[in-house]
Amino acid sequence: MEFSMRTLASPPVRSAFLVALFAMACAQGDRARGTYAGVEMVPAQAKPNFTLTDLNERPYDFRASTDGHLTLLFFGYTHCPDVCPVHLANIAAVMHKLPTTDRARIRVVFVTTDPDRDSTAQLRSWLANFDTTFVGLRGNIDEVNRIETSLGLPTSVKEPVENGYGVGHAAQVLAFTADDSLRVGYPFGVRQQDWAADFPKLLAVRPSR
Amino acid sequence: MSERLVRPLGRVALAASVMLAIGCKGAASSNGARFDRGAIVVSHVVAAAPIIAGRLEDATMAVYLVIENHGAADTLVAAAAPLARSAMIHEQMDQGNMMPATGVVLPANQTVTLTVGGTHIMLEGLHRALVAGDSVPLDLTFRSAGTLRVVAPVVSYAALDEALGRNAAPVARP
Repeated sequence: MEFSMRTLASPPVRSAFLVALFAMACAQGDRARGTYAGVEMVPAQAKPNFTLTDLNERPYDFRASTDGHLTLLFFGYTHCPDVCPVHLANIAAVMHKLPTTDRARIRVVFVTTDPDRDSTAQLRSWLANFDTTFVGLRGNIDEVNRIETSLGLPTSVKEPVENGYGVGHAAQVLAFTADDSLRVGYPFGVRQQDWAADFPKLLAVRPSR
Repeated sequence: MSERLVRPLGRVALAASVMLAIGCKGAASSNGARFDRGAIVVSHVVAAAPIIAGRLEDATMAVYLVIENHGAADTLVAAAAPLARSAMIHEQMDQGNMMPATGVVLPANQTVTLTVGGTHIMLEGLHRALVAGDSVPLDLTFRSAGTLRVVAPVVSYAALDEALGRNAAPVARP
């Protein structure tokens, strides 16, 4: 986390990152300037080191378990009305059109920002609506927030609403290429055609060793 | 703090500008049905097929639509759905939190879009499992125009972008 506390998490840099995510939102109609439909991290950042609990109730070492894979990391919750399911449904729809060999090189990791309501069973059942290979992770909310902060993401905020509460969360999907670096951030609004165009580019980045 | 009035021209200027920017592209919606009452025309009504991960009564379903107001200022004050226990107007806050809203302000002669990432109608407590291909009737009550019955085709989340067409522009948030 040391790297990211110094880089992404410092307020000016984090602000720039978020502004860039905003600015990228129109990239879909104007893609000439960038390699990716998302916001490219220049330079790419190292993959963070954290361990949470997976759907088999076992420790999931993020860095070790995703080593050498194109990894999409997303923070959200199963009661999320549209941002989370739209992101995951779009990713799944495009992944399902990729050759099996390419799909095997991708890890999609979803971290719940609402561990109180998202039990392991709830998370498993919800994720299975998109793809049974998607990894669901749970952990103490303070730990999840620490991870989000280290990545330059806003922390999750629980706010009461009628009959329950909503959970604010970062809306972007972070893409780590096979060289284990954070290369692109995809804000809410990326379309399936964006993922279809970017998967081959992201997969073209090979492990660094 | 529990209730808010959605003001489309108010504090969401930044989000709106981003929305317009993204909205520059998009195929025409496949859902051309229009519903009107008085000065109000509602179109592009789409419901996202619920992801049922637990009990059906806990399932929710978001509905999106476009409201054209061809007359004096009005307000969408309530929604009701026969297939659900309740239908509420939800506004998503900057951090993605949902807040119940007391209404959606419809300025005179303007169009307001309820779309993904922003304000939507949230159906809660579904009476049956709705899947892509189903239709959901919805009664929208406007302060001046009265109550209008609209029908939303249900589409999967994967098909939502396409179904929303030019209205799919999400409201980006930091």
